[in-house]
Amino acid sequence: MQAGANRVIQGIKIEHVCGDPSLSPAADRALRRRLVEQAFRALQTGVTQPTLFQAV
Amino acid sequence: MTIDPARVRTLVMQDPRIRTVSVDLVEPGEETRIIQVRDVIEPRVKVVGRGQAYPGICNHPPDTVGSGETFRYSGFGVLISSEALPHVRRAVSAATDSLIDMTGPGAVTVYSTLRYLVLTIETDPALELTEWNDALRGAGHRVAHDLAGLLRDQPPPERGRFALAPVDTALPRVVHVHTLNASMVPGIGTGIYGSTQHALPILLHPNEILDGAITGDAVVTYPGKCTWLHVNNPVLMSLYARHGVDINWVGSIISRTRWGSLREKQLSAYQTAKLARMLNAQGALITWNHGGNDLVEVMLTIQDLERAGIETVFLTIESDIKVVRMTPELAETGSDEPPLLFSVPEADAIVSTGTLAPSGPLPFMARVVGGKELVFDQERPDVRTPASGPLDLEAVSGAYSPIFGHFDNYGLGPQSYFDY
Repeated sequence: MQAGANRVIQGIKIEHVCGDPSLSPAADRALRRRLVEQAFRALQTGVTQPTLFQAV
Repeated sequence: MTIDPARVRTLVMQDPRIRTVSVDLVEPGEETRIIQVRDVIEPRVKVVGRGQAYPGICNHPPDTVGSGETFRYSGFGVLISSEALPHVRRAVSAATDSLIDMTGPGAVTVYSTLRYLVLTIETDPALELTEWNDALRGAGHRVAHDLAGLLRDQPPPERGRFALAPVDTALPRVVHVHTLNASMVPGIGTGIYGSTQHALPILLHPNEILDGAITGDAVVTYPGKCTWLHVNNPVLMSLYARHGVDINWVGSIISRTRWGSLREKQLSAYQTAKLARMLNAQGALITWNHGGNDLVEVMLTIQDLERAGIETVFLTIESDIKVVRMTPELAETGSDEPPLLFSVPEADAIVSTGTLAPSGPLPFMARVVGGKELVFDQERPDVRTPASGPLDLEAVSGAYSPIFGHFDNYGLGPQSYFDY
């Protein structure tokens, strides 16, 4: 957010931002899908400043 | 002091995991380049009091140290040189090749001012990472322990007394918040009594640090992780000099950095600030020993301390770590990178130790100790450069300077503000 991005989705961990290899493949895929859906919600949300959208 | 190389070799070769060792002496000012530096250890020995110097590692007992009497060699270190094995390079990209120039434009760090007993070690090439680390460190500590033992019957030319005696309660209570990187690869990295894993913060008496409770490893050699550096941390000496004069130093909180998730970084930061509050600290000096994502929790710690009403000062390098050559133009205008990767508005008192970089290419050196070639790009270990040089670091260097200790986290480098 300090870099100026307006909508930021909170990822999982620095080593694996968009998923979680400690989960089963099915659970990991479901997590990744939820992150993408959160990103779509963020795109549809009006913002006035850099905004962090929590992981779901 | 006269060193018997056969005695040193015998000590090193006690470990069957080590194939060969050569022993060299190197002095500051010599036209010598030491390469493949893995760690530097200052020989220290406890002559009175509980425990052993450098507790908890290399089969040393974990007894709490910091009281009694400790003898040390000043300005001298046992230096371990060994080229990273190919699978170590692949497993730990930060296990890079490094060098120390003992004279010339590359002699920009404190490591160029020490005298060394260099152990150039070749291990069994099939050793797994933690075994390789243990073999190298073990050898260095066996030799350091043996040398330190020679001091027991010698009268020390100088003595210092280090105690956090009760002082005037009107003096401001200052805590040292010493944030230390924990490796993301298990079993290696900075250790506290040998404990390397990410853990919640603990309180150390500074004398524990002086007795070697914090140690580096033989794997990752850049950032401020060298074992010598921990016992020679100038911050400890400075705080001791002022304890009872204008501050009341209440101790050193050690928190680990480089947690993977934001939640873990926040937890570490909040617990560190809580410990400071429980110590009734009014001020905090924050130091760190790494770079990169570790800065996030350091800044979160500063933020939480400030929000608790504790005034902070942060001592740090600047993030332009990719600078490998310091030119007057660069000193005037600065580099393209921001000075800090991340900061919080509450971090309003920051002291910079700048960036250590030579002003010119590194010259040819007639004597090279520790190996023959250097790999400058960890992704291309087949590309090897003769270490004798000359070396134009801007041309050959990958992302980071190979100068050992160029992350001058505690300001020991000889380059002044005017040089920078």
